[in-house]
Amino acid sequence: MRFSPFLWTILWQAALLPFAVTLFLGWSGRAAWGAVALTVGFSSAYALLYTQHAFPPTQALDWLALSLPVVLLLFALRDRVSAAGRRAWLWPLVAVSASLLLLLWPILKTAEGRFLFEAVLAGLIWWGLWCYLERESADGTVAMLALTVVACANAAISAATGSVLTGQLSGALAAAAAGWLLWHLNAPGMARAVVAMAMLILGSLVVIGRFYADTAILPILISLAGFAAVPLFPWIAARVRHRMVALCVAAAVMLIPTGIAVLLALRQYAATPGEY
Amino acid sequence: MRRYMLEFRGRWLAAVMLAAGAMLLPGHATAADAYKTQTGSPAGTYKIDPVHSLAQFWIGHLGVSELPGRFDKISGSFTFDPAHPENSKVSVEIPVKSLDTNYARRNKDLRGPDFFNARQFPIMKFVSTKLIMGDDNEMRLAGQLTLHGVTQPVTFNLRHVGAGPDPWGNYRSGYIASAIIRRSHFGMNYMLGGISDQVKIQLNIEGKRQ
Repeated sequence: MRFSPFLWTILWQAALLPFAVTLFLGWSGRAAWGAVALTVGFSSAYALLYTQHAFPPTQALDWLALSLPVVLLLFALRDRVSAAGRRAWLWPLVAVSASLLLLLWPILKTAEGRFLFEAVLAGLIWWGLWCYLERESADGTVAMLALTVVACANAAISAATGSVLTGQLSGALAAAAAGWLLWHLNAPGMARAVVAMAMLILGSLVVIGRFYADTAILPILISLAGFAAVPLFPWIAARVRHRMVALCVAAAVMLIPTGIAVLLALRQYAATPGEY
Repeated sequence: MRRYMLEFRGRWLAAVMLAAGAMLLPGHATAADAYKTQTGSPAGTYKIDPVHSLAQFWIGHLGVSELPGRFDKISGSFTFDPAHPENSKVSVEIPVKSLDTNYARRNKDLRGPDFFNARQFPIMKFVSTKLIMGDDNEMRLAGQLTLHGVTQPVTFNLRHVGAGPDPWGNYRSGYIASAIIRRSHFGMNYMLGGISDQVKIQLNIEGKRQ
């Protein structure tokens, strides 16, 4: 297959640009700056890929342009004034509740019982995973590695069974997270703000993909099991001499459920005959 | 054998004469003139007949073709007053979910947030504001098209096809409306590099007089 300028543009916008921007901005060792780098890196792709911005926001994806800077500011401030662990669940709860309400508000009036049940369940999973990853972010590298792998899987799942656009944006998040990771592979440290930003973006994209584009639910849920490898890392690290090898083993463990999820999504994609 | 042949020829001749007689009966027409455009008055208020109406579109793909698509469901009404065109009005509603481009995966993508966002904007709507009469059956119909949550002025070229009674005692009238719109004007900007901004749209409308 010839790699056309059209495909190069998509690859550039959805992967290379967010990766390069985050890598360029993420050199600083300060935790809050990492969150800024990730947000700017993702936003550069978001600005190019999502060209339907409206203010005041009308569509769910419009809200990302507002929620990203607000949550970034709030969580950077939180990390300055509040020690980890004290009411750590409250901030993600507020962010998830507000985001879910804003993202689903346009379709709430036509919602049926099952929709509301699914929305509440999605919110609980989103909030639970956010708290869990923040708790595990004492070594932010592992949490962000998991977020990168799951975002990558969501890119494939969403593009195959739901929306190509949310798939591309998930790819952009994975690329930006990979850009942050490169600076932190050998430097474990607190990364609550960057985890918070990545969780906000990933959760928003999953919710939009599921509720607006009917992205397949089973692959999404299976891919989230990739986060289960995060608490295994200390156990893996204790048995492997080099940190890099331990990270590779953890990534391999994360790839098992996410790989199965992607295979399921691709199988569903292939079930529809024909191709674009 | 000869007697059998004569009998067969006689039966064949009788069949031809019967068929020829049937053709002379009133109501029968030959293939060439069987279908005629009805030229009754189109004046009146009509309800759109969804079974005989359709909205279609053509959109450029990769700069090499124009891909057709259609919306299978349509509803609305129109009033036509030839003596006072300013009293004429048209209102059409199309459920976006009824989109069909002959490929299930593409239909899903088009209905999703990348393009139409049918979950949030389930109905496409056109409401006329002005009818400009032209020569013969040609007219121009200006109005407001609401698509993807955005309302923009659109002017259709309108052609009246015909009007007259149907076999069931109703009175029908039909039009073809066509226009070219830019999807970016309605906030649909995704993949403008591979899928054209300009979209040809055509509405084939048949209404039953109320």
